[in-house]
Amino acid sequence: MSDSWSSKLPRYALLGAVALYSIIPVLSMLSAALLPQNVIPTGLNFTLHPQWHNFVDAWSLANMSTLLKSSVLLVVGVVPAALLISTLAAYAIVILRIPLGGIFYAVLVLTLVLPFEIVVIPLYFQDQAMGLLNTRWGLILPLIGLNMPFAVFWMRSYFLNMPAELYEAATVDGGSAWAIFWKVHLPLARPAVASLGLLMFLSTWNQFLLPLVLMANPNNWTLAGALQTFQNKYGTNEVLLNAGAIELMAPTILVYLILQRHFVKAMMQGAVKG
Amino acid sequence: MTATAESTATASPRRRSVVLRRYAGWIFALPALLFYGIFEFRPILSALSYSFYQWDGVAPTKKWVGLANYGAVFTQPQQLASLIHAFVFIFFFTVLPVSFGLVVASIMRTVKPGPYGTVTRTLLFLPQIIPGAAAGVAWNWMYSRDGFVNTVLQWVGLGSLAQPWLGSFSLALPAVGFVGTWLATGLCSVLLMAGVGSIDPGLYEAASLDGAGAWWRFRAVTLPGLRQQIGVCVTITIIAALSSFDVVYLMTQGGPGYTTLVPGVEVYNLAFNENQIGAACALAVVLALIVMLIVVPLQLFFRKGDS
Amino acid sequence: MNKETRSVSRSSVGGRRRVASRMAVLLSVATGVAGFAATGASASSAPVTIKMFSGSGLAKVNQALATAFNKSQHGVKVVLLTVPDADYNTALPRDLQSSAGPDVAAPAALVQEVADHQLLNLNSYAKQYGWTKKFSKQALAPGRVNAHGVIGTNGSLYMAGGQAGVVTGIFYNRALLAKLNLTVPKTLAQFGADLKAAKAAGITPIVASNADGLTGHLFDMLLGDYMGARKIDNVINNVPGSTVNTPGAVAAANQLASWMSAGYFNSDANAIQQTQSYQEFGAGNGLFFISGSWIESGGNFPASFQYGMMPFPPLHAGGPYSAMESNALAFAISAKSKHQAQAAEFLNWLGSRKAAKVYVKVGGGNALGLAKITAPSLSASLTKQTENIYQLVQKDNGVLNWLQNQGTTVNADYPPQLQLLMAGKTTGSALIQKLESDVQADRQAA
Repeated sequence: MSDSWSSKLPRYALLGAVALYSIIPVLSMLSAALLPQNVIPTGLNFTLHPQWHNFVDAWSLANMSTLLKSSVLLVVGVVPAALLISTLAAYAIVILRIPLGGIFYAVLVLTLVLPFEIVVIPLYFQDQAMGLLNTRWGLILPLIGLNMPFAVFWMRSYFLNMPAELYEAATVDGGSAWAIFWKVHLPLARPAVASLGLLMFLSTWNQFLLPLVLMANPNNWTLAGALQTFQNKYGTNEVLLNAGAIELMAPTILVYLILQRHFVKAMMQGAVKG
Repeated sequence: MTATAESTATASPRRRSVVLRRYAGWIFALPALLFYGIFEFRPILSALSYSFYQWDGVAPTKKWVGLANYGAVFTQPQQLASLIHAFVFIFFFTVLPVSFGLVVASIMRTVKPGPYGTVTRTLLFLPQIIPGAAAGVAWNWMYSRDGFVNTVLQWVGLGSLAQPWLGSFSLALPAVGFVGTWLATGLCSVLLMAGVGSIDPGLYEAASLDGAGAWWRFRAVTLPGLRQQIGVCVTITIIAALSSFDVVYLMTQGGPGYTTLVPGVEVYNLAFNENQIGAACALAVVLALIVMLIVVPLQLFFRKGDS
Repeated sequence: MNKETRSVSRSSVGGRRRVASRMAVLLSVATGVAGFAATGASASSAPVTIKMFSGSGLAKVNQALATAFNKSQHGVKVVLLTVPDADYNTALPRDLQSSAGPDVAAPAALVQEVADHQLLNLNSYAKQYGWTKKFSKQALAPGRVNAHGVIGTNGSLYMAGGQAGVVTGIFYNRALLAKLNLTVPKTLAQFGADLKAAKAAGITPIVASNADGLTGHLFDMLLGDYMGARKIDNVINNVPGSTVNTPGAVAAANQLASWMSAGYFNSDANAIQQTQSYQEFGAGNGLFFISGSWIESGGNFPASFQYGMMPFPPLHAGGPYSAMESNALAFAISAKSKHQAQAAEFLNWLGSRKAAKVYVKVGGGNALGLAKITAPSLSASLTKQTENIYQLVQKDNGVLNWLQNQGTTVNADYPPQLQLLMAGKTTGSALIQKLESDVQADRQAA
């Protein structure tokens, strides 16, 4: 590989362009979010007088404090539990080689292809029958279940890449299945668990349809649906819509930046294999 | 933790212990089985049964209509069109991102590890992190009459091409599809970069010694070496293409006319705007079958040759 | 969001700022007191709280109504729960299944909700409060549904309240109209000639948004002219044998198609939403804007922008005026409500003159009998013009409903079909055929 500038430049230029392409829409959004509220924004138009107050207005107009609480409760209720449960299942399927584990896995993965929207109505009636309708548990428990296919898929491919001898050796040393999981495999799987945690956080954070249908009180809905407030049937407040969208994605970007080290590591270690 | 007690107590004979352990292992998988079975599998079976009824999702009684809802999927022009659009999306969600990802990964291979690579990788993955609702807002805005795309076209003197993209019967579908490219490129690039990293550098050196240029090194070393990763990218992105919903719903709701209608949006409309639960479930089942018909052979194809 | 066009008919005016913060306070109060809710309305005990669902577009006016009611009553307190307009139809059918949902709400699909026993039969309250004497038969008819899912005078009452709302018509740029030397058109043909004159003068005749299907306002009024208001009503009300597949409806669709192909609309209509169309009209980039009086409040146009409103012309000179009018003061009570008597008390209050005044003041709509009817004039103030049109249409028995309100299927197909018409990709008669099959599908489902 040559290191001369003439050969390096095009590469770096291309990568710069690719990076720009990723963030232009976000920048465009930011430029719109800072304009005065009575204008309809045009193009990339950074104002000299950024209206930071728009973020405060968007926040209060869309009742975001209340919705944020619902979103946080949902994430806290769903993500850790789903992480643990799916990791245990993938461990059982791959490492412990449970009987019929392959079939369980196949069924899980096949449901990955079903549009999520169709289970919403059945879940409504199931929650009703179980007395869970209009409760937080009525949202948390189904979301844990709905996370299983992808989560097991993700963790399984990770465990598949762990050498089988690891388990054999630990068994010979007299470790119980639980102890081996807790002391050997789980620590090694940290990047995969962290990256899965990030993806689960995202999908839970973005969930708006399930609360909308399962919760009768709009105060129990989530932040992800808050943007609709800026688009009513008489018009759209473009500026506040963009400000609200930035507020919606700020936490996800923050979590990503914190976890991205693990994320890339997990990918590099081959977390995802078909 | 009964499994532990049991399995440690029966240390020998070893074989019996292994079999026991294998069964006891189900205790680890049981929570997942329960949550999945109750909160996903059972609802799926319900949805399957709804697809044979005419029902508004509220009434205590449902009207049996047999296969009529399935018939509608293939005879109603807009439902059929939505399936075709989903296939067009494969180009934007799969073909373009995987191609871009291969280019990026090939170039990144030659860049030394360091902050530049990290920053680029982080930024590339960013679209994947942005909530669909926010991405819809951003791109609606990019494509609007006074938005970024048209502004840039005017800057570079191509003002005559500037137009309201999402209102065009011919260009709205590619415009929305390109948002899928934007979303998926990061994921594919990172996955493929990981794959390139695991290719033996010796192979590249050998190819160079044989006089292979960059293109041939790519054909002979990179592409075969990435078979598995390409398989994962293709699978994930095809599922994303065929079941796309939020971006389209937030940008065009299927318009203008029905030109950007995709099955995900049609399922949502049928279920939640038109209160036709049966028809929505039937379309979803057909969609799922189509996805399976495509994804399962692909999986087999990309697995072939592995271990 | 365009799937919401249909609820415009229940609507008044889009006030959307500064509401939520106030609401958040109210909501926290509401959740605090809900537990103490008791039956009876004695002044000494904590008030009974009833929950009112409001689409976000109507939050401001509904909040004003609730506040006024809470001030004047003792023992009953109305709190607002705001639902984004785009989610209203998704959320309401199931929210009506539970007492955690609304006590009072505007129905999302009246006939379907009645068929599913989600709404309270108001007949006994109508008797108790004398609504049948207070309001005319026609006024209560839109809230009545019979056992066969037909809306009209012979059904049981499910939706009631007051009588005030918005009216649709033609808004015009005062300066451009004067420049072209045009008058209030007396016939549809004259209006067509005005459009042509504007086009010839290089002025965009009609500014419209059609990404959200809002050329539907014009289409619905054309249907009123060509088919007659009562015939449209029959279709929307599911009167057996009524059909939209009539020569009149096809003529209306063809008229619209011919104006579209003549280039009488802004060229990007299919791509823009109403907010951009406000911007265009407000910037003086077009002569006419066809919409309803809800656009007059909410800061849609620059304060300096001078525009007026004229009635949609009848087909023939001297014919009846027809236009869409909503009733923003009529609501239904959930069959699952635990405080039905108190909810009915609120509905009764909505029928008061006081409620109508609050609505007119905050919602910017109109109520009957507040002014004398005159001939349409270009010099009158916008408020006077609107008030006059609202009453002119009532006097001519020309109140129309939006055809989208017939059912969910026709509602869903309105925007895409109008987009196809705008692009010349469907014909007037094909569009009518499609709408007819949607109407039949909705009737069959109900």
